[in-house]
Amino acid sequence: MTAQNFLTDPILCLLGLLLLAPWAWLQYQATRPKLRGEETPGKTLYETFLRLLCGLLLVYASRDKIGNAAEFSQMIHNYQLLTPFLTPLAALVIPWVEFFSGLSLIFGFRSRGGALLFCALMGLYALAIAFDLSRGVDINCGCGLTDPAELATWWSVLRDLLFLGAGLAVLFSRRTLLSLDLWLKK
Amino acid sequence: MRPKRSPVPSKPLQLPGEIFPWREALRQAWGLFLFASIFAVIFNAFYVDGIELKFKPAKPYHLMDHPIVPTPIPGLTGARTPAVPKRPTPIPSASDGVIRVGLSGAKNRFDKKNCVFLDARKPEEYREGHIAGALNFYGNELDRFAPQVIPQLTDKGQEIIVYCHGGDCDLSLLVAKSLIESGYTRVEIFAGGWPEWKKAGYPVDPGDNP
Repeated sequence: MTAQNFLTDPILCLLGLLLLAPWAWLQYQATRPKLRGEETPGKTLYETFLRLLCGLLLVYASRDKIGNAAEFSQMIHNYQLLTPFLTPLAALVIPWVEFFSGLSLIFGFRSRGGALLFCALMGLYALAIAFDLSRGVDINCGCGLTDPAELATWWSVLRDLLFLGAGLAVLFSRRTLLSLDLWLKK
Repeated sequence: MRPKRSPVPSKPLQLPGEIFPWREALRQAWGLFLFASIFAVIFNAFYVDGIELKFKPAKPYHLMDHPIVPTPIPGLTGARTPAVPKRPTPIPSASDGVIRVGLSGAKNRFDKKNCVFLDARKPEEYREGHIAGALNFYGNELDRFAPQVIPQLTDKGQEIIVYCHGGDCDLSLLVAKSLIESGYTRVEIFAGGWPEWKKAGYPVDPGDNP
């Protein structure tokens, strides 16, 4: 069994929930009157972990799309959301945006921008899949995480929304560790 | 009794821009996006498999434009068997007008041995494994594969099931549409495709031959 067969959308949703739960708890702890919204080391550490994970996720998701722009453009065409002019451009640019945003998150270089792009991409994917599902278009997700043959379902939408939640946690984090940005500021 | 006040002084009211540095985030995101876009265009220009920036949806191949003399498939039960009145419930297609069959439908036809299975995946994937008896008809190179496959589809009423990677796979859709436009009347797509068939443990064959 390959990783792609194992990573079905419901399992990814469960992983997303398991990732967000500790963060929600740490966030709740930080809002208690004693701390008054101050960052705790645990929260900083966990948000750094989420940042690295989001970065790895983006790089992993882009690996099949980079260099396969023709197939990816056909996949985007199946979504029936973009004009023929925009389809190849999107197929060309999106994988590299994913890749460089992922690198930016992993190395913590311009990581706020990387996190914003991560959130934008996840939001966009969730919207596109939800829109196509609601109008009855069957599509292969083409997300690069699950089995390429797997049809996009509402689980895919939930998965992207949970990843979006993780991305927002990274975006709004006040402090981070293991970051090039920090090193450059010194 | 009144609760003791916390010794930490309360923070002054923060404006939205101070709570989160939006400008910084937007500037960084734009920079990354721009860099990735320029990099993508340059990479595409020098990459061997780079694409044209003008999208051309794959056109169905009109088999009738390339007349091929039909010959019967050796080993197949010959012409269409009329005694198949009951069809398994088809899964309605989204918008393309081609009927989808599920796993049970495909297995049903397979067991009756009166249906031709066409594998629309790449030849390398076909070689790794395919539905037992399926013919390879790669959807992106119809003109190359048609001379080998079409002569074996003698009867235009022959039941044909096309499959590829499952889902709404374009390759099987391309093959199905081309066959329908060429006059074949009973062409359907096996929606689950190869992954579903293999997962179910139904008969498969490796190698180049059907």
